[in-house]
Amino acid sequence: MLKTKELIEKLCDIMSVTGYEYKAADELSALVSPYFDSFYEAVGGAYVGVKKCGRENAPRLMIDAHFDEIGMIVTDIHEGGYLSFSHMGGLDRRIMAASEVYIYGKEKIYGVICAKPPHLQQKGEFKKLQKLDEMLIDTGYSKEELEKIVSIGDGIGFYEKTASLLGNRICGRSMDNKCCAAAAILAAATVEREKMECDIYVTLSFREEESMAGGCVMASYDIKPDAAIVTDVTFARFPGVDDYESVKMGEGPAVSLSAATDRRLTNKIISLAEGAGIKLQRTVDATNTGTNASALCMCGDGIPTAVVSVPLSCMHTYNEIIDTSDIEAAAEVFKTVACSKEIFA
Amino acid sequence: MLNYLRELIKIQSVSGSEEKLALYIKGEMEKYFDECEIDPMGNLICHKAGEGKKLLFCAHMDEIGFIVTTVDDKGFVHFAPVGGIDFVAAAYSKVVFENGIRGIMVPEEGLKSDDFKAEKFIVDIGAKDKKQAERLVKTGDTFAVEPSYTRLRGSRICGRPIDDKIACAILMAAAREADKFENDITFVFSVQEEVGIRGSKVAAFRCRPDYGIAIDVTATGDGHGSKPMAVSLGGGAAIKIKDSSVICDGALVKKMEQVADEKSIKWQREVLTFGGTDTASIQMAAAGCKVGAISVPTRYIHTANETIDTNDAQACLELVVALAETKL
Amino acid sequence: MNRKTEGIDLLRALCLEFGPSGCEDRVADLIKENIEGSYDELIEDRMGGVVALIRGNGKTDKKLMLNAHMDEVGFMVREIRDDGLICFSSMMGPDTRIMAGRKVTVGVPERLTRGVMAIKPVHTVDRGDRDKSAPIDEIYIDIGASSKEEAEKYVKIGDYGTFESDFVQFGENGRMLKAKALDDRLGCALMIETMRKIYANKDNLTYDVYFAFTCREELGMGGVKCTAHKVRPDYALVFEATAVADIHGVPEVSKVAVRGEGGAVSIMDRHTVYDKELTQLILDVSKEKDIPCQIKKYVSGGNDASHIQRSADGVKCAVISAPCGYIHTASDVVALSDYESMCELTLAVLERMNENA
Repeated sequence: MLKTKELIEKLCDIMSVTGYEYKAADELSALVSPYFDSFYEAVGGAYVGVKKCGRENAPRLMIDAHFDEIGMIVTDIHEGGYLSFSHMGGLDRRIMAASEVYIYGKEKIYGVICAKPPHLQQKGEFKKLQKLDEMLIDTGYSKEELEKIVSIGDGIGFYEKTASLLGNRICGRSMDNKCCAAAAILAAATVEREKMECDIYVTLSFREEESMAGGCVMASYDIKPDAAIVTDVTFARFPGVDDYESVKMGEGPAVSLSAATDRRLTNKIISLAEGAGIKLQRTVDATNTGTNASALCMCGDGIPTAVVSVPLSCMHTYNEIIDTSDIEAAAEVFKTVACSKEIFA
Repeated sequence: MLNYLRELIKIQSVSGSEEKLALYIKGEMEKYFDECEIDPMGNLICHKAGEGKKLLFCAHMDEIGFIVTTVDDKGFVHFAPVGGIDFVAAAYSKVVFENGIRGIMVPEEGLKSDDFKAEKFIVDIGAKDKKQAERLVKTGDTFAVEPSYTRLRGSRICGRPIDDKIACAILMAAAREADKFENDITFVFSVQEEVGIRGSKVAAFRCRPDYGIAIDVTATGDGHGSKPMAVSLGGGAAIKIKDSSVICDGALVKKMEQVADEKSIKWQREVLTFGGTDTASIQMAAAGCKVGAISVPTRYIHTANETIDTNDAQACLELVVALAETKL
Repeated sequence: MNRKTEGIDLLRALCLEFGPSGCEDRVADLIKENIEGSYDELIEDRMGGVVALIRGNGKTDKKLMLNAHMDEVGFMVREIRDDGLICFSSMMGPDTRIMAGRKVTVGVPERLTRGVMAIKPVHTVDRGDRDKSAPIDEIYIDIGASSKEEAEKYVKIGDYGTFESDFVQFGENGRMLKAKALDDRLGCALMIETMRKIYANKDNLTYDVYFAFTCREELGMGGVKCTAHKVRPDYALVFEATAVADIHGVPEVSKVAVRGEGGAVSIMDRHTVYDKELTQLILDVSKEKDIPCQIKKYVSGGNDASHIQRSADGVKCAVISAPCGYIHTASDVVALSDYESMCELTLAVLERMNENA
């Protein structure tokens, strides 16, 4: 039986910094292709897993979870083995000092982002954040040796590993959005084929963190789905985050009510989840869901699109926190949708 | 290539008004390519059939400039910018309208450069009053800072608009080698890049290539007080890894570097932390394609004296030809 | 379980152990297990330190004390909120840039729980505040509890905390070490290794050597003050880690010391002017035996030497520090070669003092 926590941990272990998702192909395929009828990389930038219901001309349901994670890119190599870098996706500069990274050159090497010692700091400087181009990574190599392994343009990811907190909660790097990818994979893996009313296309898409319109947009062009669910993370309740823009962790996934998504599809999902007794929270994202959905819904001839999101704390840090029960509930929602006649009626 | 550049510089092509330039390039390209057509948006699409993969190269024809909004009672011409204008660089420069009328770009008297913006500038075309001015210039006319082409020391040149006419010149020069091409090659001379990467998107949708490669200029890190950046003038053709609009396909980047090495073409890697190019829209057209970009390292971009090293441009040209004739 | 190790394994075990200032018990236990059988007597230390004595052969009545501190930077639980989040007081200064986002361990020696120094998402920080570090009262430790009741089963007000951070060997040929608490578990490891060697050859030892593993250095309180008061040494050698800035772009004058060029011997820091004779002896031995060592090139920082020096009727002190990058963070970084040469130098210095006595 596929264990949720284990699946998330394995997905998180796969480096997929925005722009370097292609490097994940072998590892990812080995991990998840057994759960699909076919698994391939779409040229526009997405891994696509297909599970068919077995009937001809069945409607197509696309479940999109972006697979990229925030990270960095090498911009220069200095004397003493120090690297300059820029961002891939929206970095949080509050957490950078003394944090640990892997540089993905010809081989994977470890590095520490330099923190300025107090004697070099102006009074009160600790209140200010350094600019990215002032930061350096200490690799412990000489420049000569480093240049044999690392080139400008190589990707950099955070080092932090997945770890357990109390109960169902886990923390670690790239939970955004591997936990949602896990929900989509879990749904496809465990849904009974006989009960499916549609073919499922799970797109693990690229470049969301840089463009908000990742590879799913292009992938949809060939898939031509009849409906799509974008699954991404949303803010968990936290001091300083308004209640109206956050949901409670452990209380199930949230469906987005937004002008950018398809309200009929959304309403059907809500009533299906209620019927199946799955906890479902709601978020209101009036004009923009902040996910791939905003771009996806306008693709090709138009795609009815809904957003099902999972609460996450510490977004864009290397210790993002989620509750695995929310992931399992999200997977249940996807399964219920895939097995429903009404969705495509 | 440089002869082409000198010709292209003379033909004004502010975003949205590229037609004259497109016709000139088309005339040349027809000598070497099978089909050359201008699409509904004004992009020039030139195709040379081949056995291999469908490979699209794209250079934008448009240049930054200005568009007339109104003419006031004093006969001064008010305008809006077209593309990313640096008014500190533009202040007091000579401008030319499409119909050949000249003028001077003038900020409000006493205005501090921090407060420079389009509304505070006018163009003085020497007209006595509104009536006289309106006979020469109408709302909607486009104009640009005077073109120029100057040789500096050695292999360096400066002038405007080198962004992105050097890339057009590179593709035109590459077309002369069309006999050698193995792949199915399309050259797109795109419109409206400077106003938000508009033209190349529909061109790429039409072509549905396997690979798309944009040719454009990029900033350097070796100028006076430049932001840190690993690209240098004279360092060779810059192979783009990312800019703020696009992340290039990793496998294609590797292939480009490999081809450059095989042909002993000087190259360097480019990570641009700002700016965007046609590469982004090509990547996102239809079902998408694998993209890369080749950049000509350029100092003082979007000023009257954009400066390049012609050896870099030559390296870019060689890389374009090498990719066109290599099995991908 | 036998926790007796040596070399890098010893250093790793010491660094990974939980021991914020005032709560050094687990480190003390680990040290006791590792020095078992390498001393003549354990001296009671009321401050919670571990003090072991190796007796000399009585040819001189001089006493030497070696010192390293067991504690590391940390924090203390201040409040548990209704939503299960935990508020804390820093015991490592106000710089939150090195705290936000890190994994931490919270509790007391017999009850430890993992947490994360949680901050609100950067997306919800006002645009105008994006250049500011997270205010310390807006960082909460999240242990995964969803209520105060649940959290209180695992964490109580007044509990201690430190970073949770892997011990990593990295860089060219694995020449660098990264861990939390290298300041000053490196000093502790050095003293353990030294003790084992001295005890094995103790017949030649002319003077009494006290090995003092002490508490609460990081708070500036100097638990060692009372230890020194009790031991009354004539000489003291302090083993420390010192902040360096040997990174790209820092002018030579501000680097302090360079990792990989040996232990740093201080002439003077903000709290202490070191004993000239003892310091010179270290430098001489380094030169004669060709063991790398460098003079600290900046008057900065301070350590327990200041407390030892001014205890009772005064003690002649010297310090050898491992140059340490990013000190007092979860990622202290030192060069392995510096640790090794410091161990070698310490033995050579003790030998010379033995000859001189």
